[in-house]
Amino acid sequence: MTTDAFLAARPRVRPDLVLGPSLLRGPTRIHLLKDPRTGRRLEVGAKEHFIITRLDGTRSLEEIGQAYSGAFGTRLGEAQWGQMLRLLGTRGLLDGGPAPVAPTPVPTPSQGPSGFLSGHTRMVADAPALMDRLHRLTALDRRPALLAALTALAVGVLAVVAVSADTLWRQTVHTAEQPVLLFAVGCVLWCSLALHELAHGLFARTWGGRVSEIGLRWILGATYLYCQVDDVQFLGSRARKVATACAGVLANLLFLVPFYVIWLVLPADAQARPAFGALLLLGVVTGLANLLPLAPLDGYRALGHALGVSGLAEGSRTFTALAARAVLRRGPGLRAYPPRLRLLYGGFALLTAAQTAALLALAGLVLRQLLPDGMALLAWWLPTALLAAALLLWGLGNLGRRLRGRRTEGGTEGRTESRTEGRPQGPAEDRTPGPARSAAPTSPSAEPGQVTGVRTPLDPARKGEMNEPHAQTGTAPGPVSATEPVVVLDGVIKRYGEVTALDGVSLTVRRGEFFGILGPNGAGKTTLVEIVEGMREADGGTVSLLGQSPWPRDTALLARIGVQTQASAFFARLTAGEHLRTVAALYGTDPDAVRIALERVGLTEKENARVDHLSGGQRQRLAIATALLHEPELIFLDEPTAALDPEARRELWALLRSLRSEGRTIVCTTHHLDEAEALCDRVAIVAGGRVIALDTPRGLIRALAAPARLMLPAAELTAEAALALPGVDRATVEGDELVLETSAVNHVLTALGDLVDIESVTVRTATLEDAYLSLTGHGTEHRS
Amino acid sequence: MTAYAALTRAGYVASVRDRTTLFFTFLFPLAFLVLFGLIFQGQHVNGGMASINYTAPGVLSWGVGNACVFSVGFALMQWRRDDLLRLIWRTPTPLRSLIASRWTLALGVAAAQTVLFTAVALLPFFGLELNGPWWTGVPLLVLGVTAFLAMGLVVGSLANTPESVAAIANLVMVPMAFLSGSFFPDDLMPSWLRTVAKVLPLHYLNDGLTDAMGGRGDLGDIGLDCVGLVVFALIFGLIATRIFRWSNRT
Repeated sequence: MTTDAFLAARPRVRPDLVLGPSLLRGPTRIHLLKDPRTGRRLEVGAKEHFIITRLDGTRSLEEIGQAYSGAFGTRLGEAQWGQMLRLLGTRGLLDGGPAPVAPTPVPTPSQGPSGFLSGHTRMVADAPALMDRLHRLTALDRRPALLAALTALAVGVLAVVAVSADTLWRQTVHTAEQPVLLFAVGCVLWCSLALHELAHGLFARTWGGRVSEIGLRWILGATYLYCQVDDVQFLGSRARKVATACAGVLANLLFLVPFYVIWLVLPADAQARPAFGALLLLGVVTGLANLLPLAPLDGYRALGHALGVSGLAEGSRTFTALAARAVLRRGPGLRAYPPRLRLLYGGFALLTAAQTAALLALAGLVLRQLLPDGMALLAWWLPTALLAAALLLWGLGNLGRRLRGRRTEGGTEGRTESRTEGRPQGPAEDRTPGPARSAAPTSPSAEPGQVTGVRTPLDPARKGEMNEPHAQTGTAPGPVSATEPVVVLDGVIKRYGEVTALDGVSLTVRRGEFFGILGPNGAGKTTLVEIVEGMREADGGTVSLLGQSPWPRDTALLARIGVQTQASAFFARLTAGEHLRTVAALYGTDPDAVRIALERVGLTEKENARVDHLSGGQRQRLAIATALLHEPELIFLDEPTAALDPEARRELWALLRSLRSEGRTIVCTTHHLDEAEALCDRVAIVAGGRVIALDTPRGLIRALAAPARLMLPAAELTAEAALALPGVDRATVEGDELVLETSAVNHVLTALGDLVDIESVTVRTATLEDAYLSLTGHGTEHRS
Repeated sequence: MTAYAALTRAGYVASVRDRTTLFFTFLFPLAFLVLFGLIFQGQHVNGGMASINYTAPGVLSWGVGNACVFSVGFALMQWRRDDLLRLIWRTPTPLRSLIASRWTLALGVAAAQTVLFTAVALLPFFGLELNGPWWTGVPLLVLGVTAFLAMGLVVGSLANTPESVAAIANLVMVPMAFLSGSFFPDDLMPSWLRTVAKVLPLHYLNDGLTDAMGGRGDLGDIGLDCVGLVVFALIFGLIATRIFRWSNRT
């Protein structure tokens, strides 16, 4: 199919697809979709939602693409369209596509096997049918008056309980002293909780939700009925969802009405009256407690629905963790959260903290009443201590699990994990790896409103892969392994206040290359290397190191590169061997690497010499050995031969050449031009924060087209005679030497051979230095 | 070897090979102890505890605090200046391993100082008697080391040269040592000065150690001193994380 025909197509999504609400999850907005045929639910981002809502059969892909670029500022290529349509197609969401495969009914709920300590069992054979019957009976959606009346009744219960709270409290205390009565009250309240669950289900059913199961769960001896509702998020307006969340408490309150009547008609001295009083008070208290906006109570769910947030507690936890790290200047900060969301998640965190504190104080108060005076301190602090202990246990468990996970992954994988650790983690549902969860639809999940996540083609995390195909610019065609770019800079800008250190630097370093970065001091060489290794963030442009972004600190990526520092950083007062062993431990590499690195740089006999006592050349070698310990693919050298005597320089050059011949990529900053000429495959000349030239050293010299200079004793030949020779451009006498400039050295030499003693002629061809001086504007000598 | 163990070992080897630091960590405070012990030998403060019962915990708390601030401050400044911090930054080693190794070293130094100074003060000539719940010195010293380590991190983050580390650390530690009663009994200080001293971390370490050794206060007092040290550890820790730099270049 041609691109034009492809873009003219007008596919449409199935009209019966149910578009759910848009919700906040963490800092991002998600949209829910439901396939009514399979019951499968999808979660998509804003961009996918934008497209899906426009795939209605009347608009062509081209039109949608234009609207899309208007809304999001990026174009949709054919590749993205293909991916998007394939995704919809394989899920059977496109009209006219293959019928979606209904998921095989999974025996729900998916909460693990039942045992003695915890488990569940189904209580109603056909829960949906039961709910249908109840729905027909009540028909709340058609009888708002009934709903209003019931609500008024519940409010009435609250009012009368509040009025006689004093009496009820005394009766509750009285009941509390009679275990049998208290037990009876508890049993009745337990039944009230069953009704509570049923009310949730009924309300959800009223507005189109589905109750998939009613059953009994038990955990450590405590039992409770549950009513599993799917699709709470698809009930329509927020008010309906809030009402569904609050329905349970409504049922609790209504349940108390007959007991209130009994309590009222019983004579004041009836023996059972205190029990009914206790039932009323405890029923109201438990009901209202359920309305606290504290996860996982009903009040919390209602708040989440009212605010349109999915996973408020989780999001708030993530936000608090991020904020705490931001205070310590760690992590990515709160940039993703606009002020409104900071208020939302921060506010909820504070609310939770305040409620927890209040509950702990209340529990302390109650304990204080119950325990003897001698244990006053214990009473106050016991709830807090218990909570702290529980949190500690939970934290230790998490830590243990993480450590165990790291140990089993071992070695290099361990590093990868420590890298992901620093990243903010999404809500719990998001933590499953992408491929696994997009591969198969999950069965209707246990929690109401939970949906299946899909990693879709427009996921911002993968934007870079699709929209920025710049990585290949300037690389010659050839085997991928040889020309694969290792470092790609594109328009990198870095400013320090007023000073622009880098002003749009673009360059590509290929695998196996010895790449030189040349420039005067203050040209931005060091800044450039620091940006590539991820120590600094570029203010503009893109940086790619081994195919990934180096910023922020990515230890897995850093483990693949070695950096020799300018200052020769060693652990003070240690021997060379001790220093290397320490660094090897920091990288987590085999201690054997120390011996290999020492051998490679020829420092084996200096292993037991203190680092402070090494000579300049030895220190440079040790610095290089430090950078080589963990066998990096890419090595950065920062002026490796600075302050070395000529002999030491030559030795170091041999070492650097041998590193290159091992197939490592080397990036080397220097201001020694002869060094660049002798070692580098390609050289970038940086000046004033820009790459002013990038070529092989030979290419740079050629491009300069600088004349060669021939020198001979002035006594042998006059300037005039020399100028007469073919090919001589200039002839000047400098002291007792005659200097000829020519671009045809061989011709002139041949001609000179007839006139003077050829042994007295010295030839100096243009060097990289000439090219460099010419380019950086420091030399005028060869400007023509 | 783990990164933590390697860093601890490197730090240990480096400090053992550094004679100057060893002198200022162990012999210098010991000289103070001996000096004050000789001057006030057999005297009692306000008719209460023996003078040595103020001198020994005073010199100990000052010695421990001083060693922590200086060693960590110098190490941090030096490591940043020598780009060693950047070397560590490039490895997968987390910063907490580095801090933990310094903490371990500081605890080791503090333990050695405690044993040395207490042993000398216990000599019959000086006449220290441990009448209090001396074991509470352990949590006090651990918390004190933590607080002063955090303070050292602040100093080391602020200073870029050895001279400025010494200047800042001395500027803080010397007046603090006097105000906190390390060199003369704070029970002799005017009450307003003692109130001022409450904002100094060394006050809590000194006060707690004096109580622990001489039995001047009860467990509640020592607990309060512990709380004070925890608060200072948190404050300095927070400041240190805010101003910590991996590199001098900005």
